[in-house]
Amino acid sequence: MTGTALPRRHFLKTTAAVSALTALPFGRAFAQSPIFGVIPKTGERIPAIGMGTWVTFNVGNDAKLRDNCAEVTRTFLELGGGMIDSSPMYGSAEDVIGYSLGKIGHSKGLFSATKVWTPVSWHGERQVDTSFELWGVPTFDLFQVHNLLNVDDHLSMLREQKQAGRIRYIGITTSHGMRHEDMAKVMQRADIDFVQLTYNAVDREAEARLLPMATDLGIAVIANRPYRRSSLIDAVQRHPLPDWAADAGAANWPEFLLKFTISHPAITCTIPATSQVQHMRENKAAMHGPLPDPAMRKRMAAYVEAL
Amino acid sequence: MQRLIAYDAEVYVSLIQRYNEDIWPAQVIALAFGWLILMCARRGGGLNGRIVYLILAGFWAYTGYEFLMTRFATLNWAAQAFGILFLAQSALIALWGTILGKADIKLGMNRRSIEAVFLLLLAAALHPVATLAAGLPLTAAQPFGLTPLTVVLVTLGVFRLTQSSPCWLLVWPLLWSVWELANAWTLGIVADTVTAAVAALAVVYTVLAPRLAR
Repeated sequence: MTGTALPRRHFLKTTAAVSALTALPFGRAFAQSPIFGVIPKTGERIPAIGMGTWVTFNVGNDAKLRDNCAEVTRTFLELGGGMIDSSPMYGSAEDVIGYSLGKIGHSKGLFSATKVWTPVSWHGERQVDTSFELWGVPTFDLFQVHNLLNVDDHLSMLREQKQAGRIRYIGITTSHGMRHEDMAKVMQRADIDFVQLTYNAVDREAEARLLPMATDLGIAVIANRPYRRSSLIDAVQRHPLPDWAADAGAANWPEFLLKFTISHPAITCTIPATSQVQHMRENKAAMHGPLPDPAMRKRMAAYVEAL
Repeated sequence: MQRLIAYDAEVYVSLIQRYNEDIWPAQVIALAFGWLILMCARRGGGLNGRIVYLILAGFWAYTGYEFLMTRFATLNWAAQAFGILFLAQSALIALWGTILGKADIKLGMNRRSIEAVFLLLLAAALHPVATLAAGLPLTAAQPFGLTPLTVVLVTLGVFRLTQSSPCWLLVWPLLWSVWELANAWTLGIVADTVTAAVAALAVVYTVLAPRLAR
């Protein structure tokens, strides 16, 4: 991950989780230690709860809102860090991430992920350079082709960047359940490390094909829209949490939804977005405690669908 | 549409507020120009028509550069392109109304003039009142003639004062009013939604009115 070496307490947790991992079929630690996901190509582990920046970090030049984003980022890193995902499509989000990291003064625990998003091939490399400038990181952990736009040309360019040591992993993204067929084709023909797609308790189309394919091909999976932006969490929070939620390791609705998402064996991490420190704490709390087993996952999905 | 609206209402309102703070006292000058539009229209004639369209072109150019390309571009990846289209619309308005002098404007006691004054009043006063009524501060109101929504309203008002304005000058105001409506509706900003809805209806009415009158 970008930044300096892991502190000792992280190392100890990591070691414990790795030990647990080896005994489990899907590379997921069903233990009290923080929940990490595994990147199949390298075996590297990253926190299962990352952070998205769509809308929440697009605050322009508003000093107060930028400082608020810095506090959210600080909380995220303090609670274990992990993937922060952005895109040139998200307005000022990349600029605000760079501002936040600069204000915090370090990027310890950060797994930096962004995207290239342009129909023009030659512009892709320029976008990569711009992202480096905006984030202020020496290397990117992950660069993805956003929504498969001009995917072949950009993947070639990203491979060159990877060989040059500027990028560690490359991937492709989609969202809202769109273009799954196209994504499957790219997964089969291109050597990629990550895919990003929409997966939550309601949007489960990926279970049929893409998630098993990712497992077979050794591709890490980022689940975006775990709350369907905010509509899913807003909808379920009008209802009481089921009595059996504790058995799924969930003390509240955010944990319920996030644990459902990250408990799928193919999912490496999910990236809920928030502009509130308190919500970040709730999101990161889902990295602890037990995960639901397959039977419980079925029950959770059925319960949410019935609401 | 979601790809174009990658920000929330708080951020958008904050942008408008900071814009209002930064450009002060341009709002007062813009309102004075609005008054000048009415005075020129009342006098009528070729020279006054040229002046009115020059002011209108100025509103489009200022909004395109100062609001869209300079401020809104921090939130929206398409804002630069929007700004260029505003500058193009400004050039077309200046060409048709000022350089070619084809604008025959007239303010009188008739239905067209009443509609025109209503649209100008909506941009100058009713929209700010609606913003206050929705619980937002006055600085959250889009300033007269200096943001895209109010520029469209002023433009429609001027077109109602013009005896015969070309349809091609309405294309961008129509598209923009639809965008404004979608943006305001998605963000849940009530005053902007109502104002944009009126603007969209006004564009449609401006296009259809000559045909209905036949």
